[in-house]
Amino acid sequence: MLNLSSYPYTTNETFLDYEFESSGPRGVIKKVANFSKVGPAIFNFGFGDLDEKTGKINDTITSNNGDDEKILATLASIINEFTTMHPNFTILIQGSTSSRTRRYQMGIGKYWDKISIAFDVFGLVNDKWKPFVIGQNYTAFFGKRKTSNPDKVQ
Amino acid sequence: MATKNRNNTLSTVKGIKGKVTVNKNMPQYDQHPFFVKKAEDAKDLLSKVGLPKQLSGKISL
Repeated sequence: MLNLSSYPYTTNETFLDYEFESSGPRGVIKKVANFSKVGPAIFNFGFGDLDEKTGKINDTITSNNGDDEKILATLASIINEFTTMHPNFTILIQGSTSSRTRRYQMGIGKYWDKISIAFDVFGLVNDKWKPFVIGQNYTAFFGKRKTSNPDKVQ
Repeated sequence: MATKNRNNTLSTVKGIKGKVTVNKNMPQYDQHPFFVKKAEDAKDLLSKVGLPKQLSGKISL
């Protein structure tokens, strides 16, 4: 998606679960993502670091592996893939921290010219959903592939 | 859409730049406490703020 450098990832036959590995100065860190059904056609997108020794998943730590852009591109690719398979599903995304939410916001904003062609995106501000606008701060995001343009983001 | 390999556990999905591998043995995480909590938080949020007006006629909670 968006021709960005991203990590290869693995999914299972449900296409709801995803794994990939971040690789950088702090070693290899396993990342997991999941689409959880929270409504008839609404899925919450969650993502975190998997500690394979304990089985715990953490989305509040900053791994500092020098690959934030590549991780964001991988998450974007996963969302793009999922919504291509299920164009009528809507995706809810909440950052675990304000800084992570802001990171998502900046990522959407950076590639908004391409994302906006394929997706309707809304941001939550003061408990109200508003159409996404670059530069506005949001606390959550809601996205749905445009039915008039269901193709993947190029 | 997927091409299964010899051991029938890994498949490569075509048409997406070779980035996706389907592994039927990969765990499902939807019942992991982390994602269960995230889903509950999401439901709480949606029950509080609802859906975007522009989509409320197209989808439902």
